[in-house]
Amino acid sequence: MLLEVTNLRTSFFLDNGELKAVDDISFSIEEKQTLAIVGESGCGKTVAAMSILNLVSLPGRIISGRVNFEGANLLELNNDKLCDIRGRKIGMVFQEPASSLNPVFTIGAQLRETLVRHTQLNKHEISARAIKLLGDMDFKEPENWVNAYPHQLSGGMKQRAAIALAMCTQPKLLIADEPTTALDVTVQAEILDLLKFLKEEHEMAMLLISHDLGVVAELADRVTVMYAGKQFENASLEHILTVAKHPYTQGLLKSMLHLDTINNDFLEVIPGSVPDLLDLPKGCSFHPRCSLKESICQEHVPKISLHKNNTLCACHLVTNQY
Amino acid sequence: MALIPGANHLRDHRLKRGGGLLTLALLLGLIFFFKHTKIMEFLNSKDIGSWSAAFIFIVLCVVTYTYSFVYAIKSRSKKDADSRRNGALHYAYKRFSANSLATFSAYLIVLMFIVAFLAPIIAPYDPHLINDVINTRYLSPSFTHLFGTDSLGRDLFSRALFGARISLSIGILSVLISMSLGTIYGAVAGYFGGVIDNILMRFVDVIMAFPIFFLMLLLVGVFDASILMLILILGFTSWAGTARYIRGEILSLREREFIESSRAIGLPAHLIIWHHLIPNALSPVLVSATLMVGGMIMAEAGLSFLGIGLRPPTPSWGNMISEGQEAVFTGWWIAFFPGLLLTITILSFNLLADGLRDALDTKTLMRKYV
Repeated sequence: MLLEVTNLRTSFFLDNGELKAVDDISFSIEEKQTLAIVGESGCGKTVAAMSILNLVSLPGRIISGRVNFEGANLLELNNDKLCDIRGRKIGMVFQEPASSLNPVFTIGAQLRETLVRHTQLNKHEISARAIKLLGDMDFKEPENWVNAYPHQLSGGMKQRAAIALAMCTQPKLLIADEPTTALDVTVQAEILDLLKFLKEEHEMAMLLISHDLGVVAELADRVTVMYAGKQFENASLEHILTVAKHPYTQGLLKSMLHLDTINNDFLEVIPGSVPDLLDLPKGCSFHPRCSLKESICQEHVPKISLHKNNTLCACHLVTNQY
Repeated sequence: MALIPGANHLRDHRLKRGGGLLTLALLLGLIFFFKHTKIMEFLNSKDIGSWSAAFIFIVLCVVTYTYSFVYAIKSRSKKDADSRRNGALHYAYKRFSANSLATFSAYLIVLMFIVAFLAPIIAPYDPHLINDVINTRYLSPSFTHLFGTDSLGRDLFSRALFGARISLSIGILSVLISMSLGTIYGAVAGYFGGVIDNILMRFVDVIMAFPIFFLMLLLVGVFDASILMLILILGFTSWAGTARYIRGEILSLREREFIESSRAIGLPAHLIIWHHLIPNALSPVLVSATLMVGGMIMAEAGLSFLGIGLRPPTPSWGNMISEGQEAVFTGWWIAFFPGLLLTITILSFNLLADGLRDALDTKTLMRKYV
């Protein structure tokens, strides 16, 4: 097991109460495996990813849980050791390529800075490596682009440069936080192809965060569904796409645009919106929007439990049906 | 053509730079023509002030001629192809040079500095020399005494040149101290936040609540007011505003994704502050630093005017004005010329700051070019 997250809880302590952004989440990633965290906006996906690298900043705090990476608990490491793992063993790609690069330095300078931090190469080798990295990310004429500033790159190129930055030291695990959300559809496809290629080329595990099931279907091996800080379902990709039982997962799947649904008049949607995390409904946090709810849903929080085919699901109604 | 500095720039229609080079070359040539014996003498002199003036003169000559010579033999097309010329700084420079008032101020300031550093060479008289007081005092401006003479018969033009040396170096060096201190202090407070930020910023609040000018008066009174001490006092009493300003910038920059990204890359805090936060927060600092130079020169003049700055035989613009006030009606020129120089310098610095702000602020770029 490469990464094992157990009972992770991260809260933001705000003036008007404790906001449980990540509430008791567990998942694991094996080597070369891709796990996707899926959910609507504001359900704690990004905070979960940040918590893995212990990057949550005040007023947020990781309350409890373990993040085991290659045998060490990242949450207990001291700062120096953590800095060695960040960027060297675990790379991270952010959602907004426009703002994840420093506007005052060239792409090459940023790559070189990372390489200086994490490798023992000499100056000449580092420059060569920076150019090669950009070449690997499908930059044509990378030796010219290393001297470009972020504002001179298109959105897709910026994201590829950001991926190059994360791939500097060939990490074991790449965390991709909505890597394609800010890009248009054709560029999305490019970035997805690139990520897929890198994953196979470097035999790298990946934690993909997305709200787009199309992207997830392209890349993931396993999927975990989050809602309002809680984990609702964790199963293999096929299982999620074909026989998912949790009403929320079903809702997500139904609200996806298929080519054959275009002729229908309406796209099915999940009614309502994600509840305020400071004021969660009693019982199952999804029950106000759930079409199948029963009285028990309004009273008790469902526990996540193991079902057939190594599948985890948190729903009162699903327990007996598996 | 290549032998005349600036001629090639003028040919390429880079009028400002060409004109500047030509003026500088003419100035240096004139100085050499009239004062070459003095320069030679200074090169062998043991006095560090005179020696450095001669040294700077030679360096200036070499730099001016090599620069224009290299420009003349280097083709322009090659220059434009240089890939480093596409950076943010290059655009800022372009925007800055489009602002003629600011460029003019910059040239004026450079000229002021050159003249100040060459003061021992240019000055026609010894600024401290007093002889035959009765016949030489209160002489109004003429060709022998450009700015006239004061109550002790000293040549005011020479004194103003030496005064420029002191006023300008006090202005620049104290701002350098105050800016570096304020930037680092503010960046640390802003980056770490929380308790550290609270403690550091409350200290700044205390300093800001202090009446700074009286603090300066006190410190100048306690320590002997040498030039170095004055620089230190001015620098160490005025960093609080910068610190607060930088902290604000850093607080907003800290939330940007590229900082998160550099943390995810595993960069340690000092590198994030030094490489990612400070360069991004630097342009407003540069502007306020430039504004502050004028303020510092003024503060020094104020202290000297009150008679607690530099002790009288040492000329500074401030104490020259102060000496002039005793004789405003008998010799208006005594206070007038240093005052004029002071005004021009501070005005130039303010206009330069204005130009820098327009050049470095990307929002102004939008307004002008999009």
